[in-house]
Amino acid sequence: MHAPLLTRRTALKLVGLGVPAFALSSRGSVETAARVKTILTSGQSLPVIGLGTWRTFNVGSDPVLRDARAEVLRAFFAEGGRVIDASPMYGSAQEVIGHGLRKLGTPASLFSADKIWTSNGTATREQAAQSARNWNVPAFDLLQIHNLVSWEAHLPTLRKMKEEGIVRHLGITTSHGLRHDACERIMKTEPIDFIQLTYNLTHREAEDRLLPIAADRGIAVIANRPFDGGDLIKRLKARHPQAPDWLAELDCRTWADVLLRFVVSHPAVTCAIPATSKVVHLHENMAAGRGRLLNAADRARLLRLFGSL
Amino acid sequence: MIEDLHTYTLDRFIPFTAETYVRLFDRIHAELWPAPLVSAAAGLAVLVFAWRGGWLPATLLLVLGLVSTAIVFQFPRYGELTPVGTVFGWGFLTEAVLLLVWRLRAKPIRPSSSPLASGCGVVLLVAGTVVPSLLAVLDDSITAFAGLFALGPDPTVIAVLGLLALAAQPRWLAILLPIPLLWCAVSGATLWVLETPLCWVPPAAGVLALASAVVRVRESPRVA
Repeated sequence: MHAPLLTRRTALKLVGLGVPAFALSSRGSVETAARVKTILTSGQSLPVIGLGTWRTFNVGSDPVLRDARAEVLRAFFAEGGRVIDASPMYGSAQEVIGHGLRKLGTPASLFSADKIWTSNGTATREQAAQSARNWNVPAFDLLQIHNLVSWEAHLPTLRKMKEEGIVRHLGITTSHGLRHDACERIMKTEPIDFIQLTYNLTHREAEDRLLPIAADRGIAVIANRPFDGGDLIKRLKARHPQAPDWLAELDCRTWADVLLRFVVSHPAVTCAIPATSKVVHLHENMAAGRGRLLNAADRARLLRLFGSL
Repeated sequence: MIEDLHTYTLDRFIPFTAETYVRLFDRIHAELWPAPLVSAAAGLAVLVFAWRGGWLPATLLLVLGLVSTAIVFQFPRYGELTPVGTVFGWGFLTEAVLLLVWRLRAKPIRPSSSPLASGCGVVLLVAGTVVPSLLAVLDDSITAFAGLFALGPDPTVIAVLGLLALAAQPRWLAILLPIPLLWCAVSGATLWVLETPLCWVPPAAGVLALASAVVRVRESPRVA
């Protein structure tokens, strides 16, 4: 049984501090305004749809695929996208992002999010610096401890780096519904700005504790695996080859759109980071960041219809 | 990190897409042209030598094939995507050395009298050497995820398993089989995660090689 979506106390806090707002996309049109949410610890606003790079950007030195990923980045920035998330664990993804940023020029709007992924607790700064070189950026907007690896050692160092102005935000990550107990302890006892976790239509464990805690403590939430690694879209298309007409009532046009809109319509979620290697899919994903969010009735309807997935 | 490994599903160990994996072989064939023609010729030569009992030249060609695959696929291209590439680059080089030692030190070869072992060996040797080149001419989508002999790991390893099934003495199988069998398992898992229709080929090759090894071990008292 999942906890209520919101307690009244949390709802009031969200309304008071983080009213979802709109920001004009680079197209400058109200009709294409990208929905943003606010990072409560810094006051910065982020579009609700970001870009993940697990698997999709790990293309090595392949010049054709590197340029293709640069086109994904170009389309992402053109649609007003800001948050890009990577990790040293993702093979060559960081270098491929760096290739794209060198080719396109790094926009001032970029919100670069990477991770510390080493069991060597003394290597925090070294790995962060190497990652920044791979990205071709001077520093990161967000550094997250990947899957809580050696977090006890990394977190104090990240805190110092934040005080020194080397990184603007710090956080922790988990995925696949794992490590929620440890995440809860950290969220309740350590001052962090972000948590990244898996949240999608069929993996809603985070609603029980982590999302309410995040809302209560003003911790921004990045939702990874919004399509459950692509599996959700495959299963939806297998059951419903044609997207039903009623999706339009929700301002949605594709399965990717509705799945992402479900994720970012949770009040505690700041943004989702779907990964893609295709520009056409990128546009579908970014559409979920425009138009209305799903209300409780919409979400319940989707859960009834797709709950058996 | 190690304590978390048991929570990882298989797909978390494959940090790239099917498109990227296929492109590895496309790039090798294009950038190293006419290496695919050399691969076809080398594969045919292995078959001819094996047919005529020329085990030393057949082995040397397979050694070169393993070294070539390590140099053009594992280390530079696959190793960029995953540490598995670098690990098996060294694995393939190690296997190449072991094959050389085997051929230089082992007693003269007496091929198995068992139709099963011989049959497995022939199937594997043909499948690893010339079949990929033939299929590439007919429909390269079939070999898109495997590459060619001496340029791609699957055909090269399958050819090695074929030679071992035909010619390796039982006491050498314990030394020569582990690395190729491990690759067959890892490759099968990789191709399965990437949802390729022929993901069963490397594991099936491993099973055939093992079946042949069991037969060779059982018949060894009769092989003086």
